[in-house]
Amino acid sequence: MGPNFAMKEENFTILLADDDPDDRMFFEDALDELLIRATLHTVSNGVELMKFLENNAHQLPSVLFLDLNMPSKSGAECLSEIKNHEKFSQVPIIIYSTSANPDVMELLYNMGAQYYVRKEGDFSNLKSVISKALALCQQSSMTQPPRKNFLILL
Amino acid sequence: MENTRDRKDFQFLPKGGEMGELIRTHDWTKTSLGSIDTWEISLRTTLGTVLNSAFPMFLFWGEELLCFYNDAYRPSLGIDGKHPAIGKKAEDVWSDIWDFISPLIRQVMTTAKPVSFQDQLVGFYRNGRMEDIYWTFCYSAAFDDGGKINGILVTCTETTETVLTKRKLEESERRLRSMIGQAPVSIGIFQGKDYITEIANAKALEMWGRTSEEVLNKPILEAMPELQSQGIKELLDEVYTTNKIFRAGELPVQLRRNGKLENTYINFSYEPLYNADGEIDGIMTVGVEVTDQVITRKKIEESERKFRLLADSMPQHIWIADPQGNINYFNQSVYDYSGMSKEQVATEGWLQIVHPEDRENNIREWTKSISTGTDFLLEHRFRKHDGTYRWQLSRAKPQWDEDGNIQMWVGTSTDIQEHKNFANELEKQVRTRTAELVQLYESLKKSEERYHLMVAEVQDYAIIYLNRAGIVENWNIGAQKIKGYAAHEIIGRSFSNFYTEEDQNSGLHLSLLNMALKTGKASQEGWRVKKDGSLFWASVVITAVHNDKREVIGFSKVTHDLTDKKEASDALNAKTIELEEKNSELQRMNKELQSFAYISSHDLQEPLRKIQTFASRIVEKEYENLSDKGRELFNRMQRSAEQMQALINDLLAYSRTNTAEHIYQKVNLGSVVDKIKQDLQEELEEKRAQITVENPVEVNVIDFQFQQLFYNLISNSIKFSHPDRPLRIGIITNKLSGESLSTRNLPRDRDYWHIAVSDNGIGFESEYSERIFELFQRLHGKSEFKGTGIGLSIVKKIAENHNGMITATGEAGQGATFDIYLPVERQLPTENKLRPVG
Repeated sequence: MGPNFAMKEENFTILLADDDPDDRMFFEDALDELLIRATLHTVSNGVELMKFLENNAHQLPSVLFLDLNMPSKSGAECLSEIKNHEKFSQVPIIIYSTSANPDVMELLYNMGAQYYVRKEGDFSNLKSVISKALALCQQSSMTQPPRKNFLILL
Repeated sequence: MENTRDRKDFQFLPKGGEMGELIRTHDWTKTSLGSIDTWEISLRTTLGTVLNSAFPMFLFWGEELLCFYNDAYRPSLGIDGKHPAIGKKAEDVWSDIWDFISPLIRQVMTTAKPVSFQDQLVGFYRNGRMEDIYWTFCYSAAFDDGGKINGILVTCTETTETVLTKRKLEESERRLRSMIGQAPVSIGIFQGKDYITEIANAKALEMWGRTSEEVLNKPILEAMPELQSQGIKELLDEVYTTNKIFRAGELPVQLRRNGKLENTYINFSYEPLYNADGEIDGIMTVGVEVTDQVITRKKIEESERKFRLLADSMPQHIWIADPQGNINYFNQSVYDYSGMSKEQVATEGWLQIVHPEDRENNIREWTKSISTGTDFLLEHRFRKHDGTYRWQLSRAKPQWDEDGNIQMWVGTSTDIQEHKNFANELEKQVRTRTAELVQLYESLKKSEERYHLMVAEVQDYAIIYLNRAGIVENWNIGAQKIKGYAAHEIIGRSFSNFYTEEDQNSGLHLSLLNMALKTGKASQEGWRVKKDGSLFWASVVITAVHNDKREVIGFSKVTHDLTDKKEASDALNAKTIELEEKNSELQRMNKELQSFAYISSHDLQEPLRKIQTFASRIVEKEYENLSDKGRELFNRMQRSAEQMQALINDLLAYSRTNTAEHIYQKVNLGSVVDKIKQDLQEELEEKRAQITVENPVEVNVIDFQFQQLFYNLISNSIKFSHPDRPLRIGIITNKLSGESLSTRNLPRDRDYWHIAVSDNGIGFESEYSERIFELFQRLHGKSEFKGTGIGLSIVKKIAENHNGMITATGEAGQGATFDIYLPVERQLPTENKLRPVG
């Protein structure tokens, strides 16, 4: 996998909210192998996520990868809260989930999520979609893509 | 004796017969002649001639004209007449005719010229009277010996008989002519071969239209030229040559009368007339004109013919009888109906047609009418030619002549079988109905008695009669039991007593009465008050009671105590509410269960995915470090994981079809297929597949489910494509009415899209057409075809979610067809809304 994600700024920060330690590990490994130079912060549930954002309000993450199925506060709740938050609403949010329920996807798109990335079983595929998501996110910045491009395909 | 001597002496006398003897014996001495022996020879000679003649002869002789005559003359003198006149003076003997004969004698005596007469009437006395006698005679002179006329010789023949016969003949002819002339028939006689009219009497002239001058002594055919062309000459000739009498009856002949030809009918004969030699020399015709009779008869015949024609064309039987009752005419209808011939009816009698059971009565009635002259009227049965009997109404009326005698009877018989049937049926119905009514009346009477008893005895219902004002007038045991009042305590009081104070104030009892008045009936359930003030739950029905004029005269009020039922009902309602709560709880739980299926399959994915990720990490990083055996086991593990992932994905999709929100929208079938073509591009290319969509209609569906349906069907076709041929998938759509899909177990009141998806894959045995839609059913081994056995279950679920259905037909090795039926119009969703799941 060639580095197609060239970071222009040193302080590009990725925040990953996922309660599953394995998934967090896969994500980190993927970023490593993709040779992406970015700062990765991880939180393991919604409460932590919101606390992190509060604490880092002066320097919000460049992008948030948000798992949906989390204890204490679900991803959807967090999405809603963030998008309705006067400071955090600008943070691009990429849904990072195992499921691919179209209804749910529709809901999340309407709630303001930027992209939807499925957690691929095959690691190389996983790397591929993460890479694509980051690239797209960087290109289009805060603009929400058309609905048909919401789900990032391999 | 002198006499003896005389006999010897007088030779002229012996053969002189009786007269000779008289002369010989006569005493002549006292006469001028003297004795015989003194007579002159001329006298003796002449006497000899006279006496020997057979012809009557008479002689006058001498101055005294003495009379002599022979035996032949003797009869002319008759009996008791002039005989014997021998030797007497002529003047004495013929004194009665002397005036006639004396001049004749003088004339001959003086002139010697004979005088003769034929058939001269010279009557004289004989046979005791004066007779008219006709004579043919001659007086001639007789001379004496000196040659001097001395006598008259008379030769004579009495012709009285001849003359009388001739006279009779003439009279007869005169009478004949007179008779012919006065005959009441026309008579004509035609003489000779030219038929010259000799006689034509007045009748004949009248008939011929001619005067006697026009026809008499003229050939009749010239006098009546109009006969020439009518064969009359030929008839006359025939008679003339054959001598046979010709007779004609009512022969039509045209006669010119009064200047114009008239058609006449004549009865006449031509008879030959013979002359004295027995040869025909004429023809007599005798005729009568019968023109008027013939015309009248023809008119009668025509009239009769018309009558028969009319009578025969009548469907009724018509018959005519003489005054004695003998039927002498039947119209054709009688023969047609009975099948009997005229001869049969005539010989066997008309009574054969009448039903044997009706004959006696028939004869009795008929005889009665004939004897009394009253109209005949009878219903009886006539046998038809096919042996069946039909009822007839026969009538006959006598026809009276001027003298008040019955001339004949005219009768008709009309078929009244239908009437009879109808009348019988009617009668039967009336009888039945009457019986029914009687029965009904009796049962009504009983029923009324029972009813009163029943009403009085009914215990479970209060049955009350109220008058128009709502005053109780009648009260049964049930009322007493339910409301507590005895009859005498409540009759005459208002029914408002049964209502609670509150209801009384609101006027409920009056409202109910009003409603019953207006609509005929009012029912209500509510609390009512007993005599002791306690309440009971009553079901009340108030019904208006009408009189014959449909006016309301009062009300019946039936009240049932439903307090127990009310309590039970209240309890039931409580139970129902409880049940409903349980039910919705159950539904809630069911939803949760569905969510659970969704969530759990979702959660199952997590660890599985991680297993796959770990596996891919190992393949990437550590594969070289594994032994061959280890690698094989590792690959198997990966395949199992893939299989599990597919299973979970399908399970998720399946559960989603239950839980997802049903948003219907118009979706074009072509777009749906196009999108799937893109999604499955690689697989389709691999199978060299072609998908054709015929008639890509717009359907009103739940978009993603519809996508899923086709995705699954096309995936299915790909999966079960035939290895030896490129895959072909055809999608054909048409619209059908619910009626035409009656066998499909779908509501019939709507139209359906029928979408048929056919492929040319490996197909399936037709016995699996139901099973392939069942969850986790796989027709093929896992090693042959990958699959979870959920795909077609989802398809079926989706079709059903749309209130439609799907069926599959297949043939092993040939292909499969899926027929989808979806309502054209959107149907109301049957599932609850989805609750979002994170």
